[in-house]
Amino acid sequence: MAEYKLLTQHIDVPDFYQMQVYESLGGYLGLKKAVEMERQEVIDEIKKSGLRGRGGAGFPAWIKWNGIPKDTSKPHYVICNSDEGEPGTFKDWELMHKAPHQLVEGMIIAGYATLAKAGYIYIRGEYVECAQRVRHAIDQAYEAGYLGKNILGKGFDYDLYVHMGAGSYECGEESALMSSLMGERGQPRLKFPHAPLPTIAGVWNCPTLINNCETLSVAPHVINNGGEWYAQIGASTKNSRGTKLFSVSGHVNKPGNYEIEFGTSLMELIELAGGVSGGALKAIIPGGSSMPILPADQCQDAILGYEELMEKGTMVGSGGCMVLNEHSCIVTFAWRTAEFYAHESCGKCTPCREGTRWMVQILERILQGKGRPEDIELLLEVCDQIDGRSFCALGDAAAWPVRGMIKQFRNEFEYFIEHGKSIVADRPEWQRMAPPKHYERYNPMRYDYTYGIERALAGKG
Amino acid sequence: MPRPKHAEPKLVNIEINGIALQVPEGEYLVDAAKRVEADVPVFCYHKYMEAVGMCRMCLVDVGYKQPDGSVRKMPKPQASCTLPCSEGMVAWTETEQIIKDRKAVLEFLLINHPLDCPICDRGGECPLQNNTQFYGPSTSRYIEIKRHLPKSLPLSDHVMLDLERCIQCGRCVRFTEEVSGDAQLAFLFRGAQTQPHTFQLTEFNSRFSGNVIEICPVGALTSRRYRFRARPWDIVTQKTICTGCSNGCNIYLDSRGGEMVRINARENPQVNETWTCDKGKFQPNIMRAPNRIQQPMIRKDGALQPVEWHEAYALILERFQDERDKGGVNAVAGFAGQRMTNEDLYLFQKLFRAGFGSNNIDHRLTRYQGDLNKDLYTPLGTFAPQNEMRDLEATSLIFIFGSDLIDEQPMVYLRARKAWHRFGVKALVAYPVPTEAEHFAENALRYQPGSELALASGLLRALLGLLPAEKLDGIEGLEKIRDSVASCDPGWVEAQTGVAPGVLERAARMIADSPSMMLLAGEKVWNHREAQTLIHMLTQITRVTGNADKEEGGLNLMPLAANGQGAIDMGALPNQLPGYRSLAEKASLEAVWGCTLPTEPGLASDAMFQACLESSVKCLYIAGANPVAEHYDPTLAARAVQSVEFLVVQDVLMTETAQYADVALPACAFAEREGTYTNFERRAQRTWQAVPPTGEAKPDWRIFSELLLRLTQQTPAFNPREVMKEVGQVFPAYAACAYDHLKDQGVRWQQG
Amino acid sequence: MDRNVELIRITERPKPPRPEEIPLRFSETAVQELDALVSHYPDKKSALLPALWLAQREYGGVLTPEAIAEVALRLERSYAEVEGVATFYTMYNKQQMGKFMLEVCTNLSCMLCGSYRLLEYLEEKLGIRLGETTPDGLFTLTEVECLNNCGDAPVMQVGDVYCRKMSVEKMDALIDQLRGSDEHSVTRLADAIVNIQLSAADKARIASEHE
Repeated sequence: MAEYKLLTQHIDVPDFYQMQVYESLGGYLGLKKAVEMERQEVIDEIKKSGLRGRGGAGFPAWIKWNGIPKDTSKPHYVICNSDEGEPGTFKDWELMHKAPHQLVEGMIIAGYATLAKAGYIYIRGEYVECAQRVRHAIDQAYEAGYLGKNILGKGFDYDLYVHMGAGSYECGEESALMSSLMGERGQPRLKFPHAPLPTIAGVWNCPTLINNCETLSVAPHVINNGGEWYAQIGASTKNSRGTKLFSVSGHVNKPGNYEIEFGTSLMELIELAGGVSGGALKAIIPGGSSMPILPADQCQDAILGYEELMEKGTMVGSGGCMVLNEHSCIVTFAWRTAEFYAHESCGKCTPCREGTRWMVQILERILQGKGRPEDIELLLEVCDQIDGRSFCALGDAAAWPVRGMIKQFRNEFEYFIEHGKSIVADRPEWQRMAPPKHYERYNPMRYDYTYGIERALAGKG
Repeated sequence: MPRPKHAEPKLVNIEINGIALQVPEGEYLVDAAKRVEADVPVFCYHKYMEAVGMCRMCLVDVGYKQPDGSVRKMPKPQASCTLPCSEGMVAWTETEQIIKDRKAVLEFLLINHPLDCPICDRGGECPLQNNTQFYGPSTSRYIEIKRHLPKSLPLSDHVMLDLERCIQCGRCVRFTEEVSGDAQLAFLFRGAQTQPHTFQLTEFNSRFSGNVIEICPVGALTSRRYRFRARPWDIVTQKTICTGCSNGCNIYLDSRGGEMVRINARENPQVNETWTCDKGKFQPNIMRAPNRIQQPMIRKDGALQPVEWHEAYALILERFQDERDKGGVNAVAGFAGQRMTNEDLYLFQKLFRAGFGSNNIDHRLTRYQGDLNKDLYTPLGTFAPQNEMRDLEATSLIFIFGSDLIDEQPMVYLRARKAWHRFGVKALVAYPVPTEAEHFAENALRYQPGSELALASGLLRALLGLLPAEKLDGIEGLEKIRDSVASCDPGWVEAQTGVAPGVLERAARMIADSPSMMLLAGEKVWNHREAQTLIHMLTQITRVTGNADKEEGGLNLMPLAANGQGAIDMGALPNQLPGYRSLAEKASLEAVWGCTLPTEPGLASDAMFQACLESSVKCLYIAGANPVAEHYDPTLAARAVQSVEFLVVQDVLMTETAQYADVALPACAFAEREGTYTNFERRAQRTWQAVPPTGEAKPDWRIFSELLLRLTQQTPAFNPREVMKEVGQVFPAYAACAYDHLKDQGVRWQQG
Repeated sequence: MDRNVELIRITERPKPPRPEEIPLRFSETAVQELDALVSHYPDKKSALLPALWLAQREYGGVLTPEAIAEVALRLERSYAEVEGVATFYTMYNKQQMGKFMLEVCTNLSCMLCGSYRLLEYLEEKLGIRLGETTPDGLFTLTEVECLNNCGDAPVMQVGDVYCRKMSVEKMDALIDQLRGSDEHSVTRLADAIVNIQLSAADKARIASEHE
């Protein structure tokens, strides 16, 4: 159990993003193999591999692939979710920046297996540098005949487009991503059982396969090496197969992406990343900011696997592993997390729209030294009122970390409220990272409620 | 897919709060819960809009029965407003957790709500207030600073926006996107800053803007007209119908101390669903118009002087009988207005036929004054629109011919748009200039004004070429039809109408390919120079496409004023008795009325006015109409009323026509009286009295009844109910529309 | 609150612009690019996000009401709907920004690595507060949510490039470099994004139409 480079095997080879280099290292062999297979065989390979969605929910990938109708009375679409926005995660960046052809190959295989007419890679607007690489890869693939009409002479037509986001974390949610792709506000849509599954009626009301960038990047390897081979990786875990990219950041000596086999321990991952820097370990958020926090003592025996982490009360999520050393203030961390979700809430449903703002307000008050002892219970109740009641998972994602932090580090909250300052307030290390005092007072871009009003007045003449 | 008209819904077994019941598959759980009287509170859900599940107020616990009989409960509570019922569904709406969740949502909604209920127009009828009272927390734990946003910002002459009160339920935004289709409101920003706006806060100039006031579950959108005029608890609400056009929207008329303060929509799924148009909702308060006729008046010394009712009656009868005796039955004439009720119209024609023995009655302000029930229309039934409103959702093609639908028939426009939006019904528009309906029409024929006939002929010719032979088989007189349009080839049509052959061909193909078609004809047909031939042509199009005997297809010549259909039904026509009887069939009427009736056809309105100019008509009685302003040829009407010797005008207002009256009689406005109206789909609907009459005004039927009493010595009708009963005797189709049968939704009289 | 008092005095709203009143500013190339982008999707509406990027480029880095109206007109949508979409996404600028937008990530990992200190340093160095633009119109200082390069925290974005592992020294060098640069980072970003969405074939077609 350790680092296992599958997706990132050749990632450091110079010019790996170029077609020539990629092909010389076994690129597009998976595709060539796939088009020789029946479409159902491709899906069966994915099923055998035990591949689960790498975007956060860990839903078995083959069920989505298999759920697409086998006829094309309506056009089918494949969407790659590269709207990576989960704080602490940067695996898709690496995959698209360094191995764009791997993703393109995965997209073509998915398109072949699901009889798709076209594929869309939805990349967040900020990711210009890696999106340019993806564009380049697509153009090269068209040139090489891997895209367009009659691919590899198999009578299979498939187009691949890049769609750039414009700054919204919510669009990483699959139904909101589809709204955004259809030129709407990035708000989530009704989901099963309230509406048909996206595999039946997704984007433009057509059957749609939507997978994370990492999931699709795995596809060429599964086809190339066989599903059974892939399923052997990580076999020590309950039900997590293959490798996973974890993005390690925060207080570690060598932050970066590390591809590990499922079943590796959390501490091993931290070791890979050069160990904790600047002091002893305080806590780790293993799966991106939406996931509950793990305090140092619980980290020691944590195993990286979907079910394994679930038992610890947290989740693999998107693999954004954030490490906090002993000089970090959990209350501030909770506030910054809540602030993020309040900023990114789409405003569609009541609990998330109002609740996330309220949480920020309470935490802000605590940070200003005006906290009341009952605020902790109030925060927990607000979290409960959001969790499971919101329209999409963003509400849950806002509630879980804050609730987790209060649960695990209640003493820090109590200390802050009682003393009006952080438990680590006097440490110079903390001074280097802490937000400015009364931070909220100059945040005009965030809380600009008056846009339009100015114009309304101007319009009056 | 168009919604089939008579589809039997599949029933599924579900269980709500332990009560087993059967509901149509796919019905939303929130509606199903109402069947067992489980009240699920909602904010964003609206029956006539697509459900979105945003407000999270309607959360319930849901499970599904498993094959082994156990129930698998879903881990999270579900929004019942978006959850379709399916077999084996089990729901709990009143668990402790659900009650807590409702409290939580209300707490969230209230933390940023200004709670300015004492000065809010919604106070007292506010869903937020009501739900808080029943489900909400009594105190708030929120001690932070509330969100502050602009208050009382006028969006238009009708609508005021208060952003602080908004709870972001999205009803108004969804209404403009889904229902009215103008998409003038949209949410701006996101998260806690989400707020509904017009583009750059410019004017909200929708034709249906009033609806957003009604559907707003808080006081964020309020009516500028009603603002601060009343509180809901000192309002008297009376159900009635709007008389603005022939759609017959069901409304509530709210009054305070006898003064109308506002109009709200009343739900009628058959007619207006729950919408109104701004013309109707914000109609001027006719009851308190400054130019109302307050009491009977007689022209003395060149000016109208107030008199007693009996003096006015005496003068009218004296002059009318005198002139009739001198110059025969053609010396008197009556013009009936389409704002009058069926009862009024019926008694009006009875007054002229039985009282004065004259058939000189008409109601038409349009150019078309030909026969209304001859071979022209009979292949399709009587001269009445064939379809009802909801057929729009069942048909496969809506062909809008010569009508600016949004202007003439706003509710038909909304329903047609809904049919397109929800059920994928196609639309085809033919109108000289671009209209709103073109936004959803697949194809638009823009023709030279006045060339409707050439266009219809060209279409018919193209259709005959496109329709398969087996479809045309058995159509009577097919060869004659073919010959009549043989010369109307596409080139000729283009020269006449400006419609390119390709466009015409596409339109004809659309019609030919549609299993059914509803043809909606409007003002341009009524006012066409050769309207008779044009209507004939449209009839033939309906026939050859096989829509003549289809339930979800047919020809609909939509009347342009409130009771235009009723006026035809009631026989306010020179050559037609009530119930589409020709003058020759007068015997049954004579039996009911106990008198002999004239056989000579009377004068239609143009001829009537011409006769006034030539002084052959000496006495003209205009009731409830203003031809000087509304006749298609206003000069003719103006000259006629000026030159006629003796003019009686009976109306609500001192109109342009009433200025010239020798006797002016005050009539009650629509809300001051009761009666029935027949809307364009032949639906008779009741109105009720909402406010007391102004001055000495009387309902029209009563004036006619009192005149008849003086003329015929017969027992007159004492109330509209009795009049309607008599109508049922002479026109059996209306027997179903007697007051005892007229429920809130009205009754559609059946042909044949 | 004064503003609210002022608002209450308004009794009328100006009318929305009629289509013929909108000054169309898309260049010929932009119109062709828009056509190419529209062809990527089954319906016109879906090209709204790309079209707004185009407009942001064509209108000098800001989506003015005219820009929104032009996009609405070109894609046959209502003005309000396009405005709703444009204000939902943070990367569309609703107000004029400086030539260089310094977008500092202050999210969790960057915070742990001291991004707030950098922000303070920049405020001091440029003499502006967060959200403001320097008087010479060169720099706008904003904070952004996670840029997802947490491994290289603290990160900031200037136009289409990420500046990684930022420190006070690197910041000084960057500001100096930008001061001497002719680029306009905001439009450059929009241009880059438009070009990413256009395929090589699209670009070749547009170029050939120009000859």
